[in-house]
Amino acid sequence: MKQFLELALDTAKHEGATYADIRIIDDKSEDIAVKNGKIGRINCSNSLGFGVRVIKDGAWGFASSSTLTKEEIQRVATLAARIAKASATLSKKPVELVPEPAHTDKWTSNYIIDPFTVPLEEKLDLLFKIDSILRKDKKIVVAEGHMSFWREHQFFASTDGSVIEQTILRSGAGYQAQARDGSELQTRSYPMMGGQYMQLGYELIPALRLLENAERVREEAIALLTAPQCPEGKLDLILEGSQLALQIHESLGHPSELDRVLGMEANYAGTSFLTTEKLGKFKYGSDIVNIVADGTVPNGLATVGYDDDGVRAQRWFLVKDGIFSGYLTNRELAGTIGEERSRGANRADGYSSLPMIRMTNISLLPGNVPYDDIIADTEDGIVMATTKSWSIDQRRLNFQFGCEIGYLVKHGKITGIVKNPTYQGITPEFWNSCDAIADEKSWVLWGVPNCGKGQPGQRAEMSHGASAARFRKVTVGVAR
Amino acid sequence: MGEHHKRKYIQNLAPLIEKIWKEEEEKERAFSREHIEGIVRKVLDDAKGDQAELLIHGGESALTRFANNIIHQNVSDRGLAISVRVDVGKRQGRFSTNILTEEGLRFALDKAYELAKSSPENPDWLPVLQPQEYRELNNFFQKTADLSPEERAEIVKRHIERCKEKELSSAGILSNDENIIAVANTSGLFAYHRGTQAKFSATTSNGNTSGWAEDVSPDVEKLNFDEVSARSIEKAILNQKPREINAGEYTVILEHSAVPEIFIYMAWMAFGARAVIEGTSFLRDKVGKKVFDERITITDDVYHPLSLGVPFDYEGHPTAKANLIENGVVKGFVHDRLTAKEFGTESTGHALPQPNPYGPIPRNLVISAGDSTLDEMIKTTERGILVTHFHYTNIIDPMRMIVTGMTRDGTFLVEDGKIAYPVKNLRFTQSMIDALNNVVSISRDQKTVSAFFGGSMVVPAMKINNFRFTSTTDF
Ligand SMILES: [Zn+2]
Repeated sequence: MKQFLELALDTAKHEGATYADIRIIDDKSEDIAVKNGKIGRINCSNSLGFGVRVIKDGAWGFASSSTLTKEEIQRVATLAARIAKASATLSKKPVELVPEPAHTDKWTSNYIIDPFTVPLEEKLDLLFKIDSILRKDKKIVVAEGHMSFWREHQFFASTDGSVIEQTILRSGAGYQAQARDGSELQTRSYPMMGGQYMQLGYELIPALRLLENAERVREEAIALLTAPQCPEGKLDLILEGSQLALQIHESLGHPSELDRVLGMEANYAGTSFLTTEKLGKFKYGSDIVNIVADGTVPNGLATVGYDDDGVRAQRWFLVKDGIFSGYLTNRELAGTIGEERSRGANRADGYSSLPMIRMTNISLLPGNVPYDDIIADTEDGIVMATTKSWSIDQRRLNFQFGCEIGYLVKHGKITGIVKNPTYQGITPEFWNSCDAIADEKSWVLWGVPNCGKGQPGQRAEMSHGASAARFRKVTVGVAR
Repeated sequence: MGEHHKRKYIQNLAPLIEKIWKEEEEKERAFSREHIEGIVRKVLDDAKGDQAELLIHGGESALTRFANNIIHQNVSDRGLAISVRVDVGKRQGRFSTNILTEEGLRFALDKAYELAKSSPENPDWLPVLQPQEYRELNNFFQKTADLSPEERAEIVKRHIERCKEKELSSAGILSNDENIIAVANTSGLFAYHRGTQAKFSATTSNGNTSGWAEDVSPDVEKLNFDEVSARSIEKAILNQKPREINAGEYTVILEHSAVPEIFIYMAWMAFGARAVIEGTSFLRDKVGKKVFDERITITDDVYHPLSLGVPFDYEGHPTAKANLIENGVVKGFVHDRLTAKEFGTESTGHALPQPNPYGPIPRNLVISAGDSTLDEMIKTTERGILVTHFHYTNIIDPMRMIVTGMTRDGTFLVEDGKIAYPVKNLRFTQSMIDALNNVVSISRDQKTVSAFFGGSMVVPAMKINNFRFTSTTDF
């Protein structure tokens, strides 16, 4: 392996690169699904490939290939240099990377049971059992359960002297029941929309208590068919953890990506309202809002030893006591806001993608109120749970979310459920209306396995820790 | 690396440089029908089990990305991957890999066989399809495949020079892809398609707000770079200091690029026969009934001159033109072989790799043209909103087809038949069933455009009454 790494760097240097790195990645995955009592899919895969990134004449070039031979490494490294040269014809300022110590290290994520050693029969057996519980009532027209596991094994080497080997194992599972009566269609998912994913082995699966919750999920889906519509107006809104996780993702995670702020995503994903003069000054949320970015948190989907710039993973505040306090950065852009070191948030979707700024794990720190006390303290409110739909403008201000289920709260008590709950707001107004955050007892690290960004599109995964929180006087019931 | 090695290495570079010049020739071989058929035959001959089905996909994709008037990303990827399904009786297993060495292929076959053996029987199992005849569909253009990073940089430079002249800043992409797809099975079926696609997209900013334009074509020579450049610049200039207007119901004039968001969620959630069988499609009991304005006709037609696509599906079944909505009346759905069997009809050739939980989906929607033009739509509007395109749309309620999303990159108030002034972006929350019953006019010309979350379709521009905007934003 070492000779491949060296050959790439030497070829690039010979072609005039002032910086080069190579990532060689082998991947392995297993993805199974059961739908309505039948196999939905059984698909396993592996892949191997490498990508070479160079700076030449002050500009980036990148090329990749799935054929790992010496000749191909030379071809690709040379092509990357040629592409950099073409890019350089249209650049203003040479790319400069902020310094990072050279690391020689080996890093592996934590897990107990290797999911690839667990027999397929055992996995299918659990999914079929869940399926039969969900479909016990004829009103359930679609029951779908799935499990997936993937392992990434990556070698990274750079002309700055780093040689890093990392192995990351991620697992996830979940299910959904759709109930229909006439033209009424309602959905409940567990543990969250699309399932819960963590950087763990097969031990995650029993820990999710999938089977134990199936009956409740079925009954809630059916109950929603006859539930009243979510009221329209302004109500105190309590978001449970998995919905709050997506709220953090969309309204703080993406806008604090420094490449978005600097306009590099303007043509597709968009830009950001968190412009650089706001750093350290802007009142993003109320005083109790503390949000950390953390590449080191155990079992987070984005937890790594090092990012794809070879920068050691870190933990820092994005929002401290309500003030916007930090960006997600990489080695190329950290210098543009006067920072001396990258935060280590540069990641690529596999060997064939160019690394770019991606969210690491971003979490709302728990508050000090038990969840039940928040409910007891709410006069006229609604709890919304489990994401159903999400949309936000390209500067990340106007958002609108739909959830699977709403629970009305009157005089400190949950009085009933409502269907089709939606809420809408403007990011800073919303976070400044946060007046209660539940304590660590309801805090969970929720996984987002499919965050899209970039052109060509790249997928990344990250986790968001959150307990429940309350927001005062939010517009609800937009979709009538 | 020692000094001696380094010298030796430099000597070795001369043939390497020559090799790069030859690389087009090599790619030609690797992507050719003969080479792909060779891989296929070898894999299928070695497959254990009772029957096997093979998909090959890949190609070469290159993309130049610019922002703030500079090229900041420039990438190229080449490769092929296979996915093989092996059936043992009615048990099925699938393994996918991009490791196409002898060893890699054998590993994939063994794994698929093992997976099949540990799977339960699939009650929906079907024998693999017999060899088929395919209609010719030529969307491969050598010039598109060959567009080099230097040529891409030249084109981008031309656009950026124009932006600089007007003191504007632009971000966007210029990409050229060559896509190979092949389906084969142990009954001797072999389907192969090679197509190209070029795309130019530009968001041009005046410092505060922006204008956007895009064009896509299989033939890079038909891609209208100058028009995209001019349109994004013109919109950026028009979209200065947008004023805030109240949310509420407005007549909207949707430019071509805004129209796919009306149809894309229907494509995914309503036009496929699986959703009809499961009862989650809002059209499940509407065949023969009028659901939209009579000027709405929707087909799935990969053979339309503006469509991008492949003339067969992932079962190797030829893709037919499917009539979905005709003059507002529901005509039918797209099928794979399994849903066709359940319906007692023929597959339309819209399968995904089997087995899968989704069922068939349309991939090349064509929305029929009308008799108006964008200019006429504006001229005949007393008060309305002109939308360039939409951002981040999502489905809220699949039964009522309620979709939400934001306007983007040029939203204008039209008053007394003229564009009056730019307005700040708005969020819509609208039932698309209602929208398609409130159609005022449809344009004569159609364009190939892509939806925000992917998928392309052929659409006209549309004017619609009582379109519901529900909130505003700060820009
Ligand atoms: Zn995301």
